Amino acid sequence: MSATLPDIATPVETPPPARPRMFSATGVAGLALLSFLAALAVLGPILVPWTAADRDFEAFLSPPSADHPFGTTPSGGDILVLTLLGLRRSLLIGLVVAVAATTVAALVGAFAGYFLGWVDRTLMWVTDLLLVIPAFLVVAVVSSGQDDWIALVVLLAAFMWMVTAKAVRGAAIAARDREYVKAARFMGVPSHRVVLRHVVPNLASLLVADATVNVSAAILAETSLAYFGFGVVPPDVSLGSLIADGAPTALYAPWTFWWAAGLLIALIVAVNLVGDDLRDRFDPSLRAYA
Amino acid sequence: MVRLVNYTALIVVASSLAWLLAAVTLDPRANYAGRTPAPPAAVVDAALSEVNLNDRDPLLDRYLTWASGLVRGDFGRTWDGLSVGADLAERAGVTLRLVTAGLVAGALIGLTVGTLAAVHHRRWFDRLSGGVVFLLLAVPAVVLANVLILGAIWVNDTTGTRFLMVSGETTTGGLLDRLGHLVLPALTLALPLAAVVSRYQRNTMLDVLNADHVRTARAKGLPRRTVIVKHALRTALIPTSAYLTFTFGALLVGSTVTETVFGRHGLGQRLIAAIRTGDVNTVAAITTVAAVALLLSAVAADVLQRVLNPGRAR
Amino acid sequence: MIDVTDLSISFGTTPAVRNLSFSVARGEVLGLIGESGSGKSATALAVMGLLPRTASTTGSIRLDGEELTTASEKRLTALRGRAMAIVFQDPLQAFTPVHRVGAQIAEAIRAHQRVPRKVAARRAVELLDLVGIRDPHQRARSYPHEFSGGMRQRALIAMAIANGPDLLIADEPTTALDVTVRAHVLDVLKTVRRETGAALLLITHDLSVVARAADRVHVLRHGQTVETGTVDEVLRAPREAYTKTLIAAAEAGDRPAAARPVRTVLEVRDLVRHHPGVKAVDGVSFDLRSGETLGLVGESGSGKTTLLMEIMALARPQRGRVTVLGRDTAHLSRRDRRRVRRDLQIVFQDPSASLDPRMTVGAIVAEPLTTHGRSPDRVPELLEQVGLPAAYAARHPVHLSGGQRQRVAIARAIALDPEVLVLDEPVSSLDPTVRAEIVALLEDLRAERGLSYLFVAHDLPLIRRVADRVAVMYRGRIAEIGPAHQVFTAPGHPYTRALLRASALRDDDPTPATGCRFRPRCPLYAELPAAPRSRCVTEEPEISGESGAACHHHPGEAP
Repeated sequence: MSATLPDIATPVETPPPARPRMFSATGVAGLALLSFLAALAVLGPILVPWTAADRDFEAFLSPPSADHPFGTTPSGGDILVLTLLGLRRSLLIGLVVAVAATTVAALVGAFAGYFLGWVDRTLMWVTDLLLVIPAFLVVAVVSSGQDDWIALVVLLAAFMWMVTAKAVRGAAIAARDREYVKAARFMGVPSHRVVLRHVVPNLASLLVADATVNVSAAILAETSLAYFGFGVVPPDVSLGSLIADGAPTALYAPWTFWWAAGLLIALIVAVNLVGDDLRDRFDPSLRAYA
Repeated sequence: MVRLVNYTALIVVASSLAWLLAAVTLDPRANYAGRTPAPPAAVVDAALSEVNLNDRDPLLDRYLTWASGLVRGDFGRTWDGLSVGADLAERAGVTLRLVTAGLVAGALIGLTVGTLAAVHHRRWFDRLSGGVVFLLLAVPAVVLANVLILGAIWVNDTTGTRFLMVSGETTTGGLLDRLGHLVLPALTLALPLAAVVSRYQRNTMLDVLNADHVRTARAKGLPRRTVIVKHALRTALIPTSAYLTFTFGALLVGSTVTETVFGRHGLGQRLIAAIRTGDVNTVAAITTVAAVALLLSAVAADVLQRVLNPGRAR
Repeated sequence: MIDVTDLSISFGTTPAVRNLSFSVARGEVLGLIGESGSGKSATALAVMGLLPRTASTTGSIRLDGEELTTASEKRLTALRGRAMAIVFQDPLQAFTPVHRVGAQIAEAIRAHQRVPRKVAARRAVELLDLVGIRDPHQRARSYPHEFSGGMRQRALIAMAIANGPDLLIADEPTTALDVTVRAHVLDVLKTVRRETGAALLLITHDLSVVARAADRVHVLRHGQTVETGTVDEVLRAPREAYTKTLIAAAEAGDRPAAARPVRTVLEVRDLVRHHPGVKAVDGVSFDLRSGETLGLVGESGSGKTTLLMEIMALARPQRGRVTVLGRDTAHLSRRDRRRVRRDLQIVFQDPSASLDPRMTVGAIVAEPLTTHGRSPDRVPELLEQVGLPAAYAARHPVHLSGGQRQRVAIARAIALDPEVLVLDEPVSSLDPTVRAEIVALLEDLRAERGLSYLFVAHDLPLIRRVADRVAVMYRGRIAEIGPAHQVFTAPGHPYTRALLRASALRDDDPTPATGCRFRPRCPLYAELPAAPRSRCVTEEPEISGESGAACHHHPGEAP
């Protein structure tokens, strides 16, 4: 007869140790950099004596100087204030798009994965359709007629939730078989409440990590669009539109290009550092290798 | 079979949606607006109706005209009367060469770097490649292209040659010349792809290196290299190859930027021009081509999966 | 053959093994027994030279006189698979999934012997044959996932002995397997030892494995030796308290017979649940009466879990009928179903999976109450009933131990004062002392509240202790059902007998389409003359009354 003994080497009746600290060293570095950039974006434009509309008619395309620490544009605009305003706009676009896209992804994915059947087939067909349509093309077409950055945000969000939704769906299918979800179902909890109360909250870490990734994806997408003159249009500026404006003069007037490019890279690095850290904690199998 | 029907339906709906969106938003009439003397409205209407672009014709009629053309394999005409199909056919090759070069180079670099980083986990190569990858992921294609151009100018100046070319597809037509034109744009596509793939490959490989079957392979007394290549890398390729399909969308955006920066007359460059001139038919045609390409790549990935993972019912 | 002296292993600052010494002679089997965390697997890896780089080792390991702790990686690579070989625990993961089984065995041969590919392939087939794989020619061309668990484990053994090693280490070789398959694999190990004359180091946490297969035993705890001696000495007359605890936890006793209950609370008739390609539940009937415990046993894949989920779904089954407290589940309105849910609750196997990790204990126990429109005021009282301080309501499940979590799950299950509790392996994820406490709690609750239990377990001694009646499931049907003492002392079905004696049964036979589904593995069928045999082939045996065995030839059945 079988006599199976489980693990008693560690005294089971003592509670396990508290969870490890919140952020890794790289995560802290990313968070610090991100906070610094956010502070710059919020406060910077107020502190600089120039505004976006100002033109310095004594300094066209002048290199960095005491008056213009970042130099000026070919039309005499102060690059420092433009860059800070661009940073503000890019950060805002990234955050709003990420939150909107992740919310849609969470709802679509969780309901499709939990209910399966025709709900799943319908939702996933729409998801596949949006995946098949080249997002960049549609956003470019539609935003070419718009000059409102909110419209851009809606469009970007509309085409950024699908991959996350598929991941959420997979996780929700797995959650269906989790015993705490079964327990709730066998208790008589209505299905939609099971999804909102047990399925979605337990995907929170996946969602937070994915939202972070979407922040950088949205900022990069805006940059590509801006390069072709779609999306953010003057007098509004974003880091993407500044990079686009500066690209032609990048070779002989590097300050028109590199401040915006550098700040954008720093911003994405910071967001990715935070996102990686969150993802590592979401997926313990990867944590060991960090 | 069911899948084929589903794919066809996806393509039909996707291109119809693209056509409708473009037809509603774009304004081909604007092409005549700046002309002096301004052509009479009736002439403009006639010209636009001729190519099925007149926004004063009923939308449904225009859609049906476009759709019935598409069924016959006719993508319609541009605003100045050229055949969209012929134009795109000419340009598709340019994009295909660029994307293929970028995809192959990116996948190979990514797989190699990711595998080596995992094998040398936490040693200098892992840390260095990790840092480079992190930076690459943060660089937009436009900026990367400009950095590469700067680098190329420097290389050409120091070596005194003119091998790396930053514009067009060819000047003299020689193979070496073509290669010189291809290196920079292909790298612009390949490097971000390689960054993404290497990260994915590194994580998969680390998982596999810790897997029981790799330990079993070592326990049989196989040499380290055999264990890594035949048992670890071979298994890790399965999820990574599936992941490659997801990078397709990024390649599409990347090739649009790349073609514009490097002056290559491909589909991406045409797309931007078409949006500016309100060429609804061209926009819809490029959407169709992209959708077909995406689904073909999904099928290819599926076939690759079956080859890599024999015997396993999926 | 192998001499380990004063071996100490630590991972960082955590010691895993301390001053361990043992030796195994040629042809001898040493059982190394202990729970996980006792350092037994680290010892195996140390011998093979496969410890991760983070581990540090002191002491000496000598194989045939050669020191291994200081040997170069190159030398170890040459020794691995040739002089010493290992069979790992989890056979599902141990083969590379993309290569054929035969090719992987042939690869092991060619790693150490200069033989042509064809010769190695032929030898691989012979090895598969030696470990009892049927159709070895064909099976060598299969991929690992096409093998059953027992077959994979035997194929791993075949690979380990491919180069005739002097030392064979088997690290928990049977843990993932069912009782009868476990016995078969142990028999194969015995054969192998006889054929190769290797020294065998058998690492396990299972006393029955040691009792069955080892000559000497070495008890480990926290990386240190507790007791060592021959199997007879240690198991019959343990000297150390720890060894005695281990042995006591493995013993079974009968429960006193309960008063005969009358009312039927759960009635299952000819229930069928087929998944595509799998007849998970294929015609199951039983009754559960008020105040009694019905034990349900069966190996993995026998359909126990599917059966429970069919009952809990409270929906119309594919075929057959489920009646809960007099209500047929096929005809329940949404409202009735909610009402029935109050009276039928479940406790799952793993409390760390069945409690939502993001909710507090209080919210978890309150959820059934609020769902059914009752006040959550009872939560502190419920926690006290399951032996938890009311203050625990504010904690999250992560901050509780396994036993405490299972108490929370039980509190949630009894919150609505149900009549029937379905218990799905409720203690198998817990450690022995905690297990005894939870079983006692369940017994108390049943006595106080007159609950009826449908108690699923694979641990036969446990079922013997708690159940009034027992049902044995085999591949989607009930093989035998009856009063516990009768099933345990006078089993009618050959399968029940095999389970109780842990006899070796093969696990690589398909379920036949007609007739008795146990036929291919049945020891009785194998011995029958042709005439009575034919009935087994053509006719599916049924259980007629409320107890009996689904066998045409068991003593109680007419021939």
